Amino acid sequence: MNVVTPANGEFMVAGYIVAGIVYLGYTLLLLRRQRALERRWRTLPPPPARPAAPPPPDAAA
Amino acid sequence: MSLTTSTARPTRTIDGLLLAGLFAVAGAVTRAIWFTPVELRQGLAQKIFYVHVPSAFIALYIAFGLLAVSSALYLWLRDPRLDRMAESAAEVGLVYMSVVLLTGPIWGKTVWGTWWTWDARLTLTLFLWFVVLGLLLLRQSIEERSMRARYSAVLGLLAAILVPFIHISVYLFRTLHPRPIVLKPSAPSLPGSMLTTLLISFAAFLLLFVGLMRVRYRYATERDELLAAEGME
Repeated sequence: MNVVTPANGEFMVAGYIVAGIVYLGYTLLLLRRQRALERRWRTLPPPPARPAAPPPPDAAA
Repeated sequence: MSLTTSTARPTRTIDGLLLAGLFAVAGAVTRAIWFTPVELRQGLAQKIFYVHVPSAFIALYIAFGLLAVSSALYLWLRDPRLDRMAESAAEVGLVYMSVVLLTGPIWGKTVWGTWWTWDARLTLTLFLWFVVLGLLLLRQSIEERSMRARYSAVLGLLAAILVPFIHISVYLFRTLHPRPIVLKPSAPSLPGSMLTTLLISFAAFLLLFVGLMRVRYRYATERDELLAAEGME
């Protein structure tokens, strides 16, 4: 029996393009989010300076 | 794990594993399109198989498996790292699941003659997609950290319970979706060259999954540290 292979290459191309858009789109979204987070880190005020340690007891004596 | 309040800015580089995953997927796609024989009855559209099946396997069994384990362990140990792992697995799994739900109908149209049919396998898969989407939306709507983690862990567990039903749905019901040809008790019913391409695709998409998970988990950690440093949590 002869089997006629259907010519449906456009469906294959569509499938790969859709998958590519989703995977690459999500990757880019993650990188954008990371960059936005980095910007927020940059605008964070520096932590308050720690108070100086008290002198050792024998130094006071 | 206690959150640090260090303002040391995270150093930003593109994750090597993510980059390797992207290149591996590009290689696997090249092999699938140009170096794998065309299926006689289905034509070129059958090659969607090499994206659809690995994406489905990784989403259902690895991503949502990880979601279930992390959620269960969170409910037991209350460790925020487990909550972040569950959050990352849910989001990356949802991306993989979206590819499954988008490529499936394109392939189905050529083989079944219809884009979609409300059979058990397809309907349950779509339902799982909505549940996981709901989980991620729920996370955004709850501000209190421990309540958010607890609720989403419960929902994550409920979502993962659907996975075995999706797997056996093709045996329990009459469905248009074919039964597994690789993940079954007997030997895979796939010619050697196609099976090799499928395994290569699986390895490539798995590497991409690990890369995406690493980046997503790191993002969640740094976001939580930033919120702690800003005094918001």
